[in-house]
Order: sequence, then C-alpha cells, then structure tokens
Amino acid sequence: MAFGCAVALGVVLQAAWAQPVPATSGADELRSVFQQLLLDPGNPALNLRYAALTAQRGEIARAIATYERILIDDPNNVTARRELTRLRLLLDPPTTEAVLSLGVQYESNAPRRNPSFLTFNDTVGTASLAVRDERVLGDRRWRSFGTAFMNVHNRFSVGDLGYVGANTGPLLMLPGGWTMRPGLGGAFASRDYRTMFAEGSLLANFETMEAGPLEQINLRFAGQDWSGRDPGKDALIGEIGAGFRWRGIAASGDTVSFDPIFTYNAADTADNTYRAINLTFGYVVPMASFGPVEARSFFGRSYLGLELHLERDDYGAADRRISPPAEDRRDYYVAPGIRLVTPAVIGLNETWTLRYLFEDNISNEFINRYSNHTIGLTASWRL
Amino acid sequence: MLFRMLAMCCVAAVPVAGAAAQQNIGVAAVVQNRVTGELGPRERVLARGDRMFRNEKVATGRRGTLNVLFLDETSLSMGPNTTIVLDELVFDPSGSNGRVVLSVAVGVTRFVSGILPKSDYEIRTPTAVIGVRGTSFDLYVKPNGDSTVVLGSGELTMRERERSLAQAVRLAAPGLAVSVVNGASPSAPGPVPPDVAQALSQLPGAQLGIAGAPPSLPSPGAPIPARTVTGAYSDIGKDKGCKSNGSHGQSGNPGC
Repeated sequence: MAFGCAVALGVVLQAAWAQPVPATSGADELRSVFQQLLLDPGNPALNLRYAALTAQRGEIARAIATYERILIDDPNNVTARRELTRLRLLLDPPTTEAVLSLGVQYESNAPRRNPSFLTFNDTVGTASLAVRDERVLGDRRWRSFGTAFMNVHNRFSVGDLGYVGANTGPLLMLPGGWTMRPGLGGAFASRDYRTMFAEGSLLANFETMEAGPLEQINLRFAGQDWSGRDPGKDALIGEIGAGFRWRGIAASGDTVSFDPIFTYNAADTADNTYRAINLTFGYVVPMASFGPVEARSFFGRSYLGLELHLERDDYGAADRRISPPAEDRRDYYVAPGIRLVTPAVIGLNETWTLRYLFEDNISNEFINRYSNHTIGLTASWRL
Repeated sequence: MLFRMLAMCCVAAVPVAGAAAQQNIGVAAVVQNRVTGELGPRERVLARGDRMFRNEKVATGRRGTLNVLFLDETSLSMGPNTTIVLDELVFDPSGSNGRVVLSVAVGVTRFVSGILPKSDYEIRTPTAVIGVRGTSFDLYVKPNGDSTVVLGSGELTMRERERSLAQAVRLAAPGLAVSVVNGASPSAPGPVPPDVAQALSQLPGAQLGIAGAPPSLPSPGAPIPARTVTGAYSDIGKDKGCKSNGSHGQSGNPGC
C-alpha cells in the first residue's frame, strides 16, 4: 500500500510540476510535451501543441492521430478540425483516375424537332473519357478534371459532337469544415466537325463532409466565343449549383441525389440570352435490396437508377425566325429515366449501363415542342 | 489541500499497487465505453489516463474503442470487439535500443509508429506478421485469423506467420491492401476489400467528417453527378440558343 501510494504521489507531483517548458527547439520540446501528455493525455492544449510540433517535423501520420484524438473528445474543436483536414489532404497519396465509356443508343427523334417538321430516328455511337487527378504541388493539394466526349450519328451527321474540357485548382481550407477549390477551366466544342465554341471559365467548388445532405456548392463564370459559327451566341455565363445526397433512406446502400443548377447566359443577342433553372433528382439502389439474391449473381451485383430532370428556360426574346414575332420564348423540359447498371458481365472489368430516357420539351413556340425516346447501352472501364 | 491530494493519491494507488511491479509501457489516452485490461488473473476496466503494462491483454466491448500512447510515441487505436496483447516494449530514450511487439488476436486497429527505428516494430496476428517500414497502417483481423493490412503512409511488409521474411510481400503504395487468407501466402497489393473497409470504418476517428475527400468521377453506379464539377459535356446538349430545337439532357445532341 505504501509503495503504491508513493508511486501515485510521484505521478501526481510530476504532473503538478510538469508545467509547459520554454520552447527549446525541435525534438527536445516535442519530447517534453509528450512526457506531459503521458501524464495528462486528455489535455487539449497539450494535444494541440504535440500535434503542431509533429506536423512541423513532417510526422504527418502522428499529427493526424493526435488531432483525431482531440476531436473524439471535442468534435467542435475548430483548430483540430481545420488542421486535420489540411493534413489529410497532404497525406493522401496522389491519384489519377479515369473512366472510359463507349456506347450506342437509339433516339426516336434525333433532331429533337416538332414532329410537324422533318424528324427521324437514328442510332448514335458515343465515347467519353473522364479523368480526375489529385496531387500535392508545393504545399497545396491540387485537384484537376478533364473530360472528352464525342458522338457519331448514323443519319443526323450534322449533329455529331465533339468536346474536350479541363479545369484545375488548389484545395483551400475554409472555416466550418468546408474546402474551396478555386479553379481555371477551358473547353472546346465542335459540331459536324467544325468549331462550335471555345470557352474559358473561372470556377469555385465548395465541399463539406459535415453531417447533412448538402455536400457541395459550385460556382462557374465563363465566357464562350461562338464567333466561328454564330457570333450572336457569344456569351458570358454565370452558374450556381449545389449537390445534396441522402444515403440509406429506403434501403441499405441506396442514395438519393438532388442537384439544382441556376444558369444565366448573357448572349450578344436577346434571343440567345436565357435564364435556366435545372433540377435533377436521382435515386440509386442495389438490386440486392429487393430480396435475397446471391451477392455475385447478375442481380446481386446490379444497381437500379431512377432519374428525373426538370428545367425551365426563360429567353430574352422570341425566335427571330418566327413571323410574326411571338412573345419571349419559354420552355419547360421534363425527362424521366431509368438505368440498370451491372459490372463484369463478360469478364473484361467492364460496367454495363442500360438506360432509357424520355424527354418532353413544352414550349410556347411551336417549333420547339418535341419529345424523344432514348435507349442506350454503354460499357465503362475504370482505367 | 495537501491532505486532499495525499488522500486522492492513496485511493488512486490501490489498483496500481499490484501492477506497479509490471513494466509500464504507455497510457490509455482515449477510452470510449467498455474496455478491459487483463494482466495475469486480474481484469480491470480501463479509463483515460490508466497506465498500460507489458503482456497486458486489452479487449474492447461491442461499442468500446481505445487509443493507447506508448512511451516511444507510438499511437495504437482499437475499434470495437478487438483484442490485442501488448507483448513487448523496450524503449531507451537515448535511441540506442528499442523494440515494440504487439499481437492482434481479432478486430480492427490503427497503428502509427513512434520514434524507434522502423525495423524495431513487429505486429503479429494469428496468421501473419507485419514488419513496419513506415509510419501508419490499419489492420483488420477476422475471427478466423484472416488478416488484411491497409497502408496509410510509409512502407510495410507482410508475411504468413510460418514463413520466412524472404517470402514477405512489400507494400509501399498508400491506400492499397495486402491480405493473408486461409494461411496462404500474402496476396499481391490491391484495392481494399469492401468488407475490410466496412470494418475499418469503426476505428475511432474514422467517422470524423472531414472535407476534401475527392468526389467520384461520373460513374454508372453513382447518382447523377453535379455537372458543374466536371464541366461535363452535357452542357453542350444545352445549346439553348439553337432555335431549331434546343435539345436538352445528357443525350448530347445539339441538333442544330
């Protein structure tokens, strides 16, 4: 008993006298702070100091472990949360990820015209490549995206599209657990194998992993040059969007998504100027949720996706080709769709997507009223 | 005041007295819910600040988690339903001598090595031996002994327990995993199996929501992505100024 008392007294006195020592430098101070931490492991000030010192010495994993320890006790510790976010971004390995998709689809109204005009069905081949890259440059983590897309029509060749675009920017810490990625972007598009437009853009993507459905807010300010094709469409574009996600709502592994986007396209001519509100709803659920199926079976590894696109477009003027002039153009666009997604059907590490989309555009201008059915099959590879 | 301090010391010393002869190797820095330590015939319920001892068997309950700080600055986190034995810690602050050996019987752990030379660390499971060549990794040991290690940073080696170091697999790519299953040789480094990722998500701190995680690329199995993130090509299809039709959606057809 006396021995135990002496040991405990020693511990208490050591703790009482172990006041923070004046900073010597580097390893000595780190060791000193750690000795104090062994006696008082829940002390947030000591933990913060220890984490800061280890981070300064490049011992990122140990600093991260310490900030995590602080946040377990005090999830609202602003310093720990901010530093943990910053360090995790530095520690995460550089990654480059790419998805290549090849597909074919049938469209019942390929030109998307009013049936009173010349409309026809068509088969369309599509190809796309999406790339994401993340790496630390200097003392910042940079995230970059690249996208390339093209389609080829069997009959409606004037509608053949090409597009390449990319944007890049650093990840910055913001208060409240948010990150911001200011970015620069550029894009080039062609139609019928001739230049359609070139675009330069400024971006700001805000992301949070805080509890709650709001995951991102995206701002985009772009200038588009159509001078090679239609100077009247030269435009400055402002866009704001958000991304909401709810997971595990109705079944294990399901996700509900909601992506609203508001766009203002200020073109050189009023009839090409518009405001658009786009609401995209999505639901993805593992097919296994619908009943007991073997995990590796076709349905056991498949996903079902539902989607709904709603959009309202307000133009600054009527179609200039309509005579006599009508009121300003107003469009309402509705497009529900369904997808079946199944990986590894033929053993080439591919993922198949069978998708049906119905589009209905309701316009106060007769020429712009149309509907279209699209059914497509796409194979994707994660490279 | 002095009397109160002495009284508190004596009360606090009661469970320590028996263990004082044991070698103190660290301290319980975070304890959540029920976590027990077993040293010889005695079992104790751990609390923050309790010292940890060599050869102590530590077990977390169904909702229990623990973080231990070792004298050499190693950090060990344990998730729920995890059992380990703190086999050995030799630490000479001068840095001339040291060795850390842990045995993970079952469960999930995160290991961040301390200031000893990396070759001085060894983590054992019922089927595998992990040699530390870097700073951090996660480990999942199933009840049947199958073991998977996921590298956080640095390097490590993993070998089947009965095999020699020459037959170890080296893992140097953060984020990848190596497994020893059914007593076979370690797998080649590869993506983290979903069941392992699920198990590791129970580690203390894993649920802390941190911004900055990279968004997924457009994926057929994912929700419809917010298009502005990728500058997606679907914007082309929104060639609304094209008065001949004004096509929409992701069919990518301007139709002008």
